[in-house]
Amino acid sequence: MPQCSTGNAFSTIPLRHLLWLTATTVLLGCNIGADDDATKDAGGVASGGAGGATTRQGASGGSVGQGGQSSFGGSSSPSGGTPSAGGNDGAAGSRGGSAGGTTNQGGNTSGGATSAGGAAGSGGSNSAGGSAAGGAAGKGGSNAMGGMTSSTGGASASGGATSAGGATSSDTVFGQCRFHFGTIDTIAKNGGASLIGQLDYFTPGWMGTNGDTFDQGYVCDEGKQGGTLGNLVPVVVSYIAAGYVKRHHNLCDGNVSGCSGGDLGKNGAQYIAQDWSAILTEYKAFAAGYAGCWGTTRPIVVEMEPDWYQYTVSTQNAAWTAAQAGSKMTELVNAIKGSLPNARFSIDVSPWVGSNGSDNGKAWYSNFNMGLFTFVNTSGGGTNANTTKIRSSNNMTWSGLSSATGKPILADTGYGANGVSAGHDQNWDVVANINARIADGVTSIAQYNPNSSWGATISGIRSQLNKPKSCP
Amino acid sequence: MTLRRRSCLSLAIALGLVGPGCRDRVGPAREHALAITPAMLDLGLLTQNETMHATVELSNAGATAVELRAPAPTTRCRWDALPHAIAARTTIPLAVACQSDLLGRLEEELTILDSMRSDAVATLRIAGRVEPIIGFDTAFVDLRPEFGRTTSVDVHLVGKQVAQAAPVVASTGGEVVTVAALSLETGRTRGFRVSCKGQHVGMHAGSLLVDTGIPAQPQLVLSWGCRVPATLEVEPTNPYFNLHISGDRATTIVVRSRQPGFKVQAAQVIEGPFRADVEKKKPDGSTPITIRVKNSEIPDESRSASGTLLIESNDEREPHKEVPLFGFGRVNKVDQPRAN
Repeated sequence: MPQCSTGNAFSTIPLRHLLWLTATTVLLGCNIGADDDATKDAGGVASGGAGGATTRQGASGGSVGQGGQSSFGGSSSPSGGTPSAGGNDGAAGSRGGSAGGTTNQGGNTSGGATSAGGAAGSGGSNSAGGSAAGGAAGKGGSNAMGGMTSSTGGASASGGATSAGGATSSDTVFGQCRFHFGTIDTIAKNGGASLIGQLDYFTPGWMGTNGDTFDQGYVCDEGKQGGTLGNLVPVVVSYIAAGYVKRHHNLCDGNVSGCSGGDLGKNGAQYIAQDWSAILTEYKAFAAGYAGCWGTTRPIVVEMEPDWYQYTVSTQNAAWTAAQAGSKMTELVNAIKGSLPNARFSIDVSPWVGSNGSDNGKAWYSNFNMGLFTFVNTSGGGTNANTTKIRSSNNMTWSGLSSATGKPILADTGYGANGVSAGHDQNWDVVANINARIADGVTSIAQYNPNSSWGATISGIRSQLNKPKSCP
Repeated sequence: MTLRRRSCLSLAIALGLVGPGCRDRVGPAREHALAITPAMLDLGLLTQNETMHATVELSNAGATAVELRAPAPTTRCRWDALPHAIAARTTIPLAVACQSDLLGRLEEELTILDSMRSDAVATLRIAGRVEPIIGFDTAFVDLRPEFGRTTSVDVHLVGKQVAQAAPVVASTGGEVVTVAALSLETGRTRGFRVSCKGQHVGMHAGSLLVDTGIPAQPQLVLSWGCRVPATLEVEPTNPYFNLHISGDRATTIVVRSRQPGFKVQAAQVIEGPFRADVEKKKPDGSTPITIRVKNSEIPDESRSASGTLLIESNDEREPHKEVPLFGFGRVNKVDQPRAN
């Protein structure tokens, strides 16, 4: 059984890709959301957003307030008359004006009962200065639609309550600058529009794990205009160098045994050095493949080679110097940029670099041309949403990493010990946790195996998230 | 570790510390008296991409025969035709084969299992060093010239067939380096001088490709890096915009230089839905540049936007500097609030 232990000095990669498949399989086997909810009598009442706080410096009123989440009406009930609740967004308005809540659907087939209207819309969140007028009342919910057959029809929704004034103004010009959420492509697709609508990006299978030639045309199909994930940004993990030597020399990932060629943690550095020319060729082939199907104008983000650090440690047969690692990374990035100028790059973090991450990677990253990278990202093994440390067993902190690199952090939930799915990481649903990490410089989270209600969860917490550190 | 555990159990049983049930479960301790000679096999200097064969001896000093099994190969060495058993009080030859596809140190361990118990009963350590058919005497060329200066490093060809090689540079891997052949008095090329002139600041990298003329190793690759220190600094290096925020988005980057009299002359977005404005120079000598997202030029459903900013200044080392821009997230076109 391959292992993927957190905090190990070696790669924690092992089953990440396999788990990607596992997660997909699990989700495919699920009944998602609606059927389960069908047993409920009614949809929940839409909760209105919280009223904005008082502005200082005499704000002119809040900007757009996020209303309460829509509640879903009940699904079919076997006999007519089961109440299905409509519930509406009780969205508040901007600058004292209120955008009404949107109408929710009532029950599907049986008669819907009265739907509860949305609650108070939220007041504006950010003010630009001036006197505070406060957000106006959020519009109440519209009528719930009655069931299609033998319906008594939905009754009127009650109006939303008045929202409070705009939120506290800061000295910056802008309002909320919110977190990004992403997940694996197959999971996003299976989650449907309600999930996709909450996402900014998706992550396909790791690049270079299956063969030496470009095999990710499906990413372009998924993400093209009009595609299932059209408009989302592909965030592609490149594992080409590791994948190449694993395939060609029968290597396991680091800290995994059982492969006839040994493992990346011991022989990876030398094999990659020996096969460098072929690896560069493969990088160029994948870049050309993406240029051909994705094009050279729409952005695509590439997360480069998880655990690049492992090739510099003393367990290697022929460890690289850190400068060598940095130089090789530049070559790889340039190999992609040559035909894919629209690519933006993220550099991987191993939270145990140096003295178990004590310097937050400052020395390690000084060997890299950081001007090539827009982001820094975690990969695999799970990350802590609820602690200042990225992982409990390592000393690197989120804020330390952000300071050392100057980059916004793309975090991921990764996997549990021994490559076992950690499932949905609820710690990354907690507003207080996310806000703490936002303050530390984290700008996104990719849930690799989210639960079926994650889309609704995001919708519910989004308005409560703070402005990311990297926002203006 | 297995033998040690067994010894401890034997001792525990003898002292009565382990009950009969435990005794039954563990079974009678079975002492092996197998040994490999030599315990360490030094293969010496090996050549790349060959299979080496060697022979060691396995002796069984015990009173019973032992059935043998080889574990699944997990190294570049393997037992060659391991016998199924070794009789009591005998010594037999064991053939070993090693593949030398990995350059450098060869350090492996081969074990033999008791097929009845799956315990490791003997281990052979193997050492050696694999030299290339032809290769370089270094894995990486690290060049760090001062601006305007040239730094060079000589690399030499090594390996079993180096005398037969006719090396020719196929690619230097980048314009920032020059490569010149180093020749012996006989005229044969013994290596190359890799030089980087510090004309272009930054961390450059590439790979030198050399055609060898040797069929078994037709091409060599050698990575190099060349760092030329800059005086110009842009912070952050890669401005990022969160498109979720409403209205025009802006971020400010700070440009400074260690060069006296530094001045930003212009900042122009040469690609993407962004606009740049050079702000007033600060007392500390830095110059802010405000970059705004041009909201109207981003499609409603887009989740991203990229661009390039060109900074022109009187910095002698980098008078023209390109800065990548990236916006992320679903664009929010709701107007931002305005002050009364």
